[in-house]
Amino acid sequence: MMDAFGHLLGGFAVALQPAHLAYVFLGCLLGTVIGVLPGIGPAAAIALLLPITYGIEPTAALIMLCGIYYGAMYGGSTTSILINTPGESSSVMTALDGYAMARNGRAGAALAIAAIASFVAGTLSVVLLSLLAVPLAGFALKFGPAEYFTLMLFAMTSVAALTGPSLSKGLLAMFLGLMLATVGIDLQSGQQRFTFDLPELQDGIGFIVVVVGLFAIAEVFCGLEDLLKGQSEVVRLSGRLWLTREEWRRSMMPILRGTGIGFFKGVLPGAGATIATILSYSVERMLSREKEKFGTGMIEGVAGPEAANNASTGGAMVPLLTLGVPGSGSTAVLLAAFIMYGLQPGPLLFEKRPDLVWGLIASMYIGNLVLLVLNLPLVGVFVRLLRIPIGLLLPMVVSISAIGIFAVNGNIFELYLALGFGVLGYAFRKLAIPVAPLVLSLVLGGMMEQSFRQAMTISGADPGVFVRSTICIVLLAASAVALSIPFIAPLLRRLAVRSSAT
Amino acid sequence: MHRSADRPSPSHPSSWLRLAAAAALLFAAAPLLAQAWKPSRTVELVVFASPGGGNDKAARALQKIWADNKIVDAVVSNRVGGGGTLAYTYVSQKAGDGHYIAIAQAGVLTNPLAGRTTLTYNDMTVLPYIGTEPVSLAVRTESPIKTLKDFADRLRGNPASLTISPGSTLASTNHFVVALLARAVGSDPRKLRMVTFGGGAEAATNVLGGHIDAMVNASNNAVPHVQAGRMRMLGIASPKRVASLPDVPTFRELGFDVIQDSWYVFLGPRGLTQAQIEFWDDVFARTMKTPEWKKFVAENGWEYGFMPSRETAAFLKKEHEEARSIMSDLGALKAGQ
Repeated sequence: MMDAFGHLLGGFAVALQPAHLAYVFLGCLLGTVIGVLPGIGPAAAIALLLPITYGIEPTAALIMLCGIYYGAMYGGSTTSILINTPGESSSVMTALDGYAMARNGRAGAALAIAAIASFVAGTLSVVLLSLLAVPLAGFALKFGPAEYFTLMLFAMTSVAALTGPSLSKGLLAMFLGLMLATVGIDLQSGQQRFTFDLPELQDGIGFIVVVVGLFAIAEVFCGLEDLLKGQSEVVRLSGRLWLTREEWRRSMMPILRGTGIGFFKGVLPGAGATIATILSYSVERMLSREKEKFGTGMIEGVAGPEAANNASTGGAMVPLLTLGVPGSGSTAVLLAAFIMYGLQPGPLLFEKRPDLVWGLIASMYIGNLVLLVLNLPLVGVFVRLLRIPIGLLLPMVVSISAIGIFAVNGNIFELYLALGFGVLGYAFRKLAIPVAPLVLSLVLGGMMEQSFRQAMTISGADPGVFVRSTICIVLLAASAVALSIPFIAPLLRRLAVRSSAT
Repeated sequence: MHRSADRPSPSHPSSWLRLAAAAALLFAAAPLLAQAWKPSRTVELVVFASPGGGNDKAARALQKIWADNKIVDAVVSNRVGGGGTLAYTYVSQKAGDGHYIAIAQAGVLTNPLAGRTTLTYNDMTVLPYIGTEPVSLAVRTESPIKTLKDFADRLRGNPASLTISPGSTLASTNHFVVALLARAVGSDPRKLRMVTFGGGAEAATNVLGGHIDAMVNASNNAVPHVQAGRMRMLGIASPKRVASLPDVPTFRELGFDVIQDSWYVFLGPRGLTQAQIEFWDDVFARTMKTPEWKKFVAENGWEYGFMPSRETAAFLKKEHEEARSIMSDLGALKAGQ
């Protein structure tokens, strides 16, 4: 550990060189912009910038590209909170209570806590990265298909907790999401499912398309309806822009818990950030005394998930740097960047180029500070978006959404698909069916099914594979506990009441 | 060109001048006439990977070389979906327009054979072949399988005794490598236990973690792990040893007649003229000779190779027949194909 500290000091010597500082700043700035715009994610942005960085010295280029990666996580919350449009799957959970806070007049507080949670979690996760990168190296490899399936199962139990007041409506949304997850060419058999001979559907229904439709386009329809009825409510800002003491107090623990969850989920390749936000949100909900208030603007529901998605970026650097194993689209492109410079991430890189590895890690401390300084003043700018007249804001949301979708795959069909999901989202809104379970089961369902079948193929159709490792057993037990809490908790409470009565 | 000079001699000096100007113009146009066609606007280089993905990287390298050397003015456009089908369809619809070219891989053959699309390479104009990536078979260092012979012996007794990942697609050239190997040892390729993952990197993670026995895919998936001492390459399915992996034997020299490459070709819309085809033949022939392209090939573990359009068409025909035969063995062939 002292060793890590020494290396880190050396790293700061590298990262604090003026040129490197400039690249940190540039990367963070680009990341923030990309995060704010829905559609174009960090992976595509880094890929497009790669050719431009050819001439730059490797350390500087990697410092900038990594800045884009973690910087994008900061910006992702902005559109979730202000216009109910998550730009990335990892900011869906933020939209639930963040947008509700904005409607309650606390947009400033929501944006501020998102930036602060991101900063605290981002920084702590770099601390964990500095200390644990080497010892944790092998952990990511312990997760095979069986372990992933049990992890997804655990995450699904958390989705069940998001069903809202009506269990049947929540389940309806959840099953619809699971069904949508089966569309496309099945990875394990190579067969097409529910594609209706449309090549556009062969790769399945894109997550961004569904989210933009269900959240943003549906929001536009609702706004349009209000406008036509002449009853559009103007979102007013109430109280001060900054956080109240009460809001501070309530956010501290969720941020710390979100950091822990995010970092360890980030270490595992796969949908690290998204699953981390789901788990963080449901942990906060579970621990809260006012469970039923979640979804109506609880600051815990913003602080926890925002901490989790930022902490996951630090976690994701662990397998990337120590094993050369990318956990997501973004880290895969980062890996490509390393390789382009002739640097192979792995234990050897720590020995051969400590200046680069530790310079990069040190730059992440600085980058998080830069992002905080960059994002906090922006809160004041962004909340002003709410003052844009609704007649101007709605077309803006539609065009930003359309550009975001088209930029990903260059596919007109997906625009129509998003419109269709917009109509569905509007219907859901009118029928009071929650959309979050649909979106999350769409993300989790596909991975859950594939890892189940991968595990079954590997074991030769022996279900015993799911109880063969300690990780599996722990996760299965956790799922069982999570599912039984709603039934057991009232019993325990009644017992407690009875014993205190006697 | 001489015909204008044969005309009745003009008497007026200004006519002479006009004639000289016309002749000069014709001379200036001569090289154009010989080349006959060149793009009149920006070319669209269509790829089916998302930005940063496999063939997108090659396309962006080409675009940069073309721009730096003032060969062609091009933009890369990503049309992702259907294992390339959306990109091919998009280009095929621009009949006769030489401003659209698509980068294509083996999916263009296997997709229609598997019944995933009706569009075949015959609906497009075949342009040059620009190289290939060797396909390697790799296990983790701790694996008891030390050689390709060990691997083949396991398949011989019981083809289902090993779990193997071909990356993300079944009935792909990666899958063909194992199928051909199974066929060579007299096992039923349909009984192979193939596990697909989201991509080569995910397959590698599962090999490293010991969750599956082996992976067979483009060698650059395994190379970094081999260099780090965590993986062992049993062989490559190339016709002969490759420059990037001089120590890795080919399947053929180990006694298994298995040859499968992960090649890259270009396709244009249907109905391109001979002149347009010649233009692209010339562009790629020049591009392949640049030091920048040679650097790309070396850095990405490709094998250098170039074939003009005509040879590429014959190559695709042969590959198509072979794919049909292996897919029939795998039971992956759509009825009627």
